[in-house]
Amino acid sequence: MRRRWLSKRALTLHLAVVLWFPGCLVAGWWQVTRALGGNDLSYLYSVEWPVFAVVGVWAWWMLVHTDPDTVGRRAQQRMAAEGGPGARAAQESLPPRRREEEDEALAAYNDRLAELAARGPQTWRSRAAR
Amino acid sequence: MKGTEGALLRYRIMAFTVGTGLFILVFVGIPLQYGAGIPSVDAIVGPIHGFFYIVYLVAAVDLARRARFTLLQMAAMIGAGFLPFLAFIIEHRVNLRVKALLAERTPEG
Repeated sequence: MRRRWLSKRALTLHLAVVLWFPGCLVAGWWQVTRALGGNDLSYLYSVEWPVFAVVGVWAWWMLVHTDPDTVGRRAQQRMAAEGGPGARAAQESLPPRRREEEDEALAAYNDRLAELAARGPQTWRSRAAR
Repeated sequence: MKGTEGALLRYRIMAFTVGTGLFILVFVGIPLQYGAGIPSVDAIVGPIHGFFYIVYLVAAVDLARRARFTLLQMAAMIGAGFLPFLAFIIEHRVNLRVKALLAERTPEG
C-alpha cells in the first residue's frame, strides 16, 4: 500500500495529476469566457478541456495501480526470461502432475491442456498469423 | 501483456490522425486564417483535431500501460501532440519498441 501510493513513480503521478486537473479546468473556464465573448469555436473547446481533465484522472488512477516491478524495459526482459508474466504464480498454484494415476482419457486430456498452455493465449489475430 | 497488439494498432492509427490534423492546422489553417483572412479551415479542423486528441491521449496511455512504458516515455507520447511532425517520429520509435517487446515475450511467435 505504502509502495503503491508513496513510491517515486506514484509521487510523480500525484504531482502530474495535481497540475493537470486544475490546469485543464482553468483552460476550460478561459474558453467559457471566450465563448461568452462571442467566439463560437470556444463553445466546443470549453467542453474539451473538462474531458482532458477527466482523462488525466483516469490515467493517474490506472498508472498508480500498475505493478511498478513490471515497468520499464529491464523489468520486461527479466519477466520474459522467467517465462512471461504470471509464470511463477502458475507453477506455484498447480499441483504436480501424477501420470501413473491417470487413465487413458485423463492422460489425453491433460496432454491436450499442456499443449494449449505451451502455445499461450489464442486470439483471432494470433491464429490468423499462423 | 494482454491486448498489446490491439493497443499498438489503435495508438498508431490515432498518432497518424493527430499528426496529420496538427500538420493541417499549423501549415494550412493558420496561414489561411492570419495570412489570407480565411478562418474556415481552422474552424472545421480545430475542434475535430481537439476531439481526436482526446482519443489519442486515451490510446497512448492505454498502450503505455500495457507495454509497461516508464513515465518519461509516456510523457513523450503525450507531448507528441503539440509539435508538428513529432507525432510521426515518436510513433515510429514507439512502434519499433513495442514490436521488439512483443518479440521478446513470445520467441516462438
